[in-house]
Amino acid sequence: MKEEHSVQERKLLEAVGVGDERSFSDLYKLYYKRLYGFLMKMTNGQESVARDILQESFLRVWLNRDRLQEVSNFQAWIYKVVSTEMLTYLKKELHAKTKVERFCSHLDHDWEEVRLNNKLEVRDLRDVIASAICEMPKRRKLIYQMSRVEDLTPIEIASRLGISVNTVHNTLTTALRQIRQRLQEAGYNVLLSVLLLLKFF
Amino acid sequence: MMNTDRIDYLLRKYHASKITAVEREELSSLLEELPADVLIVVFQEFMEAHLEHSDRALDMGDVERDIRAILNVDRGMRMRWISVVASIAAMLVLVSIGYWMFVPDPGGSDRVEVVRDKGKEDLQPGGEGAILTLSDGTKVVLDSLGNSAVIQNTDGVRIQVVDGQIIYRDIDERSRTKPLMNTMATPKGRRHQIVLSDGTRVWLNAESNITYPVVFTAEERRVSVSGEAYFEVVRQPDNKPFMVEVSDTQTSIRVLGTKFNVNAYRDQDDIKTTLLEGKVEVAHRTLHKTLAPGQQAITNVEKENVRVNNHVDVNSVMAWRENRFSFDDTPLYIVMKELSRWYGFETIYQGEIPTYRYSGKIDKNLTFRQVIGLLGATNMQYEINSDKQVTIINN
Repeated sequence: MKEEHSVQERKLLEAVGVGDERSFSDLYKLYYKRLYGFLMKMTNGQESVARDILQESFLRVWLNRDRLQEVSNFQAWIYKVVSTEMLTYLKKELHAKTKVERFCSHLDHDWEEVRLNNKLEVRDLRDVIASAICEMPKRRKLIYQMSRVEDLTPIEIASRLGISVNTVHNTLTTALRQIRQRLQEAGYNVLLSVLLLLKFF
Repeated sequence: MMNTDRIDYLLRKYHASKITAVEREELSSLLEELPADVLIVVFQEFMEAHLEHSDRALDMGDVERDIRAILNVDRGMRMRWISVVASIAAMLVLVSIGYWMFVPDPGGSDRVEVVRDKGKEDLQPGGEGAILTLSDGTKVVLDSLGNSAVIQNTDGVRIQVVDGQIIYRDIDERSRTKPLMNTMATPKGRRHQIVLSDGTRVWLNAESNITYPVVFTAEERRVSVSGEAYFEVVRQPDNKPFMVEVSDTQTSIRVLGTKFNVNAYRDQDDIKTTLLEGKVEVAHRTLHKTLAPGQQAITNVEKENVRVNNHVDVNSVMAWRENRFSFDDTPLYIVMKELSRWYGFETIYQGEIPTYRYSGKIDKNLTFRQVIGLLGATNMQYEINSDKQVTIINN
């Protein structure tokens, strides 16, 4: 990676860390462009599958945004996350295909089914996260919602509430941790894999 | 290491779509056998060696949707699908209303939800009408049932009301040197159209006002507005500019002949100027931004900055002129602000403000209850009392 790229990426990551949606979007598109060709080849040209894999990977980025600064090499980290997603897909895909070939001798089978079974339902996560937010103590909930619903930056939240920016940061981190905790309890592996992977770097 | 080399070889064949059925089976069992940590390292190396830079322009529409879905995941929305029966019932309501569009949320959550409301009170939609304040302070109520009353102003100007529209008569030449300022204001639940002395047409949305001279002076054309107004400015032969000042914000819009919309309600942070045709220059303090058609200038008075948005949905901005509400992933409290302007109610939140978001385009001729029903409010409970207060209950 070129030096200027890494500087640009660092800036994006910093902004994503405090919940900046535009930077997240830019980062996402940057990697979409880098990975598109490869993902398309590995999914037999199924664009929706390629997109799912990237979406699932970046969902992990978003839900761990407060911890991005702990990742020294984001590119290596996200490639690892994508690899994990890709392998999960590939295993199911190959398994299904092999099984089908074993039992039927024709190649027409339902690829879509493989994909859907594997798909992490972003929509389902919302309910779990919403209830996690509901459970938060009043103050934490307020700060979290100012950040997510009103799209305010930590500095703006701090000045509106008359508290320190640091307090806002800490509260948002606690809120995210609580959300990840609830997701894990609900069986969504958002937390675990990322934490394990973080140790590599 | 033998296994990992073999995996790399098989992955390369898979990647090139040259893998045989036997090799596929071999790859499949290797993926099952090897420990996850080894596998990830091998796969990541393989991936990084095979990344190719794609120069072809990618269609980002779907990707934008994917991104939105992630960003919406922790906004705290709750969605539930209700039974098919209820959905069909909702569809029948829609058909009977005849005109309704539902824009699915980019996150793919075309949600139909349960509304739990109490009581029978409803709020009727607004209509045409405004209050005109003359330069001497006299107020004239312009109703949709307008008559042809003639009002004599102390300044000598006579005003005739025809079909709820005003016509100025007997304008004295003196008013060209000392302008007579009049104010047209729409209360909640009313909108109004006015033609200025140069032929410029202005549409006022609910709870908005414009202050203008009965006759523009020779030097300049200057008006001030608040709330929301759509302008179709007539170009003058001498290119005399038309200035719109947004009241109390040190913001002005300078135009020649154009069509544009100004959204500047006092209860929101931003002033949004959207250009449909021609050219405008938005000025805030020392900042100046020139807009091209389809662009929107967002002036934040508190932060003293002006941003230009190139990707504005003009149809959505202009929906009010076509008598529609247009929401796109809009937070509940903003939806309620807009509805309160049209149905003339006051919103009271019992408990915290719910964080639901809504998308949809809905006819403004419907009653409040119908609109809430069509928006498919989440588990929202609300109550309307006889004092025109809507209480959102969030326990």
